[in-house]
Amino acid sequence: MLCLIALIVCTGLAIGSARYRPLAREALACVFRRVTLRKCTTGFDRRVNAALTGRVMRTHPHAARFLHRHLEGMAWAFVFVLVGSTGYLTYGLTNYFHYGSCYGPVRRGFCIFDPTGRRSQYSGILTDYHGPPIIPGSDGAPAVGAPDAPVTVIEFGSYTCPYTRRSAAVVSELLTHHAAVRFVYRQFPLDAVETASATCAEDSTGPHAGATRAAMAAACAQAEGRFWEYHRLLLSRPEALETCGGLLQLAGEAGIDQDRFTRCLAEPATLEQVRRDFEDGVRAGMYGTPTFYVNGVTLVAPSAEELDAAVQHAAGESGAR
Amino acid sequence: MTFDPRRIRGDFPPLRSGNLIYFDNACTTLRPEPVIDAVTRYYSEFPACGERSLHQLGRRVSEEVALARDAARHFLNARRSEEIVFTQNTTHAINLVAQSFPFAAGDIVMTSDQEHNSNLLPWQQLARRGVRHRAVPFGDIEALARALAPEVKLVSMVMTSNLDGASIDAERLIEVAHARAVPVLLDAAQAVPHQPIDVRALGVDFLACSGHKMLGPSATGILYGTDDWLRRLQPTLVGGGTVEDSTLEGATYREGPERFEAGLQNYAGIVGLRHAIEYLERIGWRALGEHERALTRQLDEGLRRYDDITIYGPPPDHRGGITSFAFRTIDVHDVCLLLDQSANIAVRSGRHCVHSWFNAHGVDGTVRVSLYLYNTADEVHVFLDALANVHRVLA
Repeated sequence: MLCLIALIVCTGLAIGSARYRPLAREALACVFRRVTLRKCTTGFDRRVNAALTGRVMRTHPHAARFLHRHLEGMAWAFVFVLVGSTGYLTYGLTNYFHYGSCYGPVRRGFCIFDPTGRRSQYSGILTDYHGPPIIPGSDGAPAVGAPDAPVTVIEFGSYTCPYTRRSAAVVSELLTHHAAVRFVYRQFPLDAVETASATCAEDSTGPHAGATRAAMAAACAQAEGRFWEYHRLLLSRPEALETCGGLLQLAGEAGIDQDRFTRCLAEPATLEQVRRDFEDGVRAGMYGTPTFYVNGVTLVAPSAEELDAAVQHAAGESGAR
Repeated sequence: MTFDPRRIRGDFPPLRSGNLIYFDNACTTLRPEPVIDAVTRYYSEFPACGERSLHQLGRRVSEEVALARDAARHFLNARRSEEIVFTQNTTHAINLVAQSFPFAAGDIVMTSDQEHNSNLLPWQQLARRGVRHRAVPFGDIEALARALAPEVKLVSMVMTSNLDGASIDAERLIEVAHARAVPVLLDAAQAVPHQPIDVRALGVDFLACSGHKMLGPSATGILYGTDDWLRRLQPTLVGGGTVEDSTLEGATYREGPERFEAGLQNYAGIVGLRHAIEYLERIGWRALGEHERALTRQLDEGLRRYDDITIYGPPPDHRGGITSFAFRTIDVHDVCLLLDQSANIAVRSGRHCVHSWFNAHGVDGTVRVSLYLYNTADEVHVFLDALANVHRVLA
């Protein structure tokens, strides 16, 4: 398999220099013979072996003996690693183009295609829904804009997600520039509607602890007709999410009756309302927040420009129809 | 001129760095500075056509070619310069004879069974004209004598084998062949660089050799032919320079060797070849022979320490500077490549263009060390050390 490695190297070199073209041809002939289960008769693999072994021989004769005997095996190992890494690269590329992250919909880390991490700006979650994605509707969720607006933008967000918080500015810019847009906010708490974290009885732990409780608090604010005020407070004061006291304080600041708010938080119906939002998101195939649906077109953590372009496109299509 | 390899090495640019050990002289030798200078001089001072142009440059080329032809005549002790035909190499010279010799269908050409492809394939090609090729064991003059049927019209034998350095008894061979009135062509490519050749004393009819194996430029060779035999050859490669006159119906060919030298010749090479010949003549054959034999003995002694080695050919004093060997379980190409890569030692591996012998004897190939005048005992010592390292890695 030395010839396969040499073929890759020599082909690259041959593109720039005729000197390497005979070598590339020899390597190709050698690879062809090996692939067809015949011995390489060009002597190319032998020359490569000798070139490497000879250099090592000058300083490390014992290592040279090992190298000469096992170079073919090492080359096979290298090829396996090459094939594996190529597969992994393809997997990473696919993830990058589909999800904006090399690691797929949930996990994140350093991505060579996105070294600054600017594209993977979402908080992910794994779900066990494997059915076809069902594009969600407004479903009674809080909304701004005319109900018959030609473009409807639905955002699924979680108050514990820093990227949802950051998307508030994107949404604000969108609503400033596009009057004919109806914007809907739906809950997708990243603790996956964990019942324990939904109550004020005990503190929950985890990266998105309190997400469901905050979503329920927003639902209660909606019931009081003060959703957008409370929504803005939740997005701008993340420290308040940590305790029920914090949520209650924000309710007070939003002008909500705190007794009714507290009762609302304890209502199972409130939890069910949040769960419906969450399950709509799951059935839509969501894997991270914030996710936007612009007339049914999915955008995960879009930049202001991307969202603007999607809205313009949707408006154009709507007008054409 | 006193023979001193260390001083001689100074004449060869590739050896001046001291990093290269060149033991592939049977393939081609290195060229000394006088030869390189002569080639350069042609291109810088008189890069014109010989034998055609009357201007000063043209006349200078013709003079230089005449000097080179005379140097070759002197080198081989031919009777006349007109018996020297310049060719591209030995292969070209043998092909020239094969294509030009007045064969008839049913004729036979005899060779040995240890011929370079250059002295085998040209005769096999003649099968198209109904000419047959037969081989006798290398060096077996009696077998040749028995095989000399009336249909045998030419004996073409290698004088010194490039495979193992073994030489035939050329005088006896010619005597036996001439006794049946059969002319002899000697492939002297490996003989001429290492020993004095006297074509008149040998009585040989044709002799072919290469310039590049005797310090001369690439693409230079010599075909010696007796005046009588050269007249009987019908040139097959014809064109510019080969005729006195031509009409639309025919041509009058020149009498001399020029009728075999079609087209513009390798004048730079021919000029350089003369200087190679003069360089060799200054060295002196006796000193060169003794030097090569001493090195070959040293090499042979070092090689015989290996239990798993086979050394081919005659005893070291009769190998013409060539030693061929192979280890029982080590690929010869691996040895060659590792010597090159690990110690910058150039040797040859494989079947050395004598495929027919290797196929007949079931041998895969050999490592061939071929020594020449600029090689030294120190180099042989370094080679043996490097070979020991290679053996340790590969065995």
